[in-house]
Amino acid sequence: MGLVQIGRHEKDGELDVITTTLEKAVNWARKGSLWPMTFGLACCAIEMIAAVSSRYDMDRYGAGVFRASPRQSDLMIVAGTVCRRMAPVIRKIYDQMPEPKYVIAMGSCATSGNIYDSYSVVQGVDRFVPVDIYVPGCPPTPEALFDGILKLQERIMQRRVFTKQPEQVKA
Amino acid sequence: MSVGVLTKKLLQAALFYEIWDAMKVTFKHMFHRPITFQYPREERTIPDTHRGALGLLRYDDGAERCVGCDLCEAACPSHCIKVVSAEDKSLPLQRYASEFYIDITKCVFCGYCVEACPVNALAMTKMYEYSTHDKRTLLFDKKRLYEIGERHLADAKKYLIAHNQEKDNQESRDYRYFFPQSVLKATQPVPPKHLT
Repeated sequence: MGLVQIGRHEKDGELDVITTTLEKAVNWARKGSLWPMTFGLACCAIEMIAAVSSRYDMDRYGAGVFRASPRQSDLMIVAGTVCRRMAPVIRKIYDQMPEPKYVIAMGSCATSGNIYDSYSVVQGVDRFVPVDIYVPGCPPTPEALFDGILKLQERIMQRRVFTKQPEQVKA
Repeated sequence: MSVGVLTKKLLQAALFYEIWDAMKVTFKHMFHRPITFQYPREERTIPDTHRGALGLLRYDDGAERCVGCDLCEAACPSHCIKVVSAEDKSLPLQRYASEFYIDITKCVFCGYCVEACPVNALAMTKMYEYSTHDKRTLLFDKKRLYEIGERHLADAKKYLIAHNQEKDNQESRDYRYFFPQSVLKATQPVPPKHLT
C-alpha cells in the first residue's frame, strides 16, 4: 500500500500517473466481474432469468455468475415487488455483501412500488438500500436490464478507489 | 430373457451406448449457429404493438394534440399521470394541458391512457433504454414527453394504427397480423454512446 499512499493528494484532487493507472486497472477488474446475487421477487425475475440464459447472454458483460450467497456477490439486482416483510431481509443481505457493492432496482415495483400503493408494499427499494441504477419498465426487457448494467459499469469506471471521491461523481 | 437380447444389452453396456446416445444432443449443439443476441451491437426488430415509454404527439402543423381533458389520468390504474389543463384564450372553447407529468417509475405500460385519449395525443413508443442513476429524471414532464414523441414519431403513429386508435382499416389489419419474421436487424453503424 506504500505505493498508493505516495500517490494520495487529497487536497487538490490531482492524481499520480501510477495511481491513475492502478485505479483504472482496479475499476476495469471490478466492472468486468460483477457477480450478481439472485434476488428475484416477482415477474421481473423471469426477465432476469431470460437475460442470463443463452439468447441474451449476460456473461458477455461478466455479470452472469449468479451467486446464492451474499458473501460472494458484488451486485444485487432487486427484481420485483418488495413487500414490507421482505424489506429487512433485503437490508440484511445488503449488509452482508462485501464492499464494493452495487444495487440495481429493476422494474417499476422495486423503483417506486408501482401500482401497489398499499400498506404492505414498500414504495421503492431506495427507502432502505442505496440504489445505483434504476431500470424502468414493467417488466423491463432483458435489453433494458443490460442497458442498466452497462450504465453501472460506466459509473464504476468513474469511481475513485485510492483517493477521495470527487463531489460530482458521488453516488 | 432370450440370449439375443442379453447379448445386445451386454454389448451396449460395454460400449457405453446410453452415454453416447445422450451426448449426441451435446455434439449436435456444437455445430449450431450461435443464438446469442449481441445486444449493444445489434438491435432487435420490435413489433409495432410494443408498449414502451409514453410520448405526446403533435399534429403535422406543429399544434399540440392534447386538449387537457384528464381522461388519461382517470384511466390510469396506477395514478401516475398528472394533467393540469388551462384555457387557450386565443381560440373559443379550446383547452390545452399547461402541465403534463408522467411518473414513469409508477407506469405499468398497460396502454389504457392511449385508449382513453379522444384525440390520440398520447402514444407508446419503442423506447426502452432509459435506465438512470437519478430517479428524478424518470418523472417525465411535458417538455420531455413531447421530445420523446418527436423523436419516436413514426413508431408512435405505427402504435396507434396497430392498436386501432387511428382508423386505417387495411393497414391496421396488416399490423394486427404482423410479426417480424427476422428478429434481428442489421448492425448499428456506430456503437451506442455509453460503449465508447
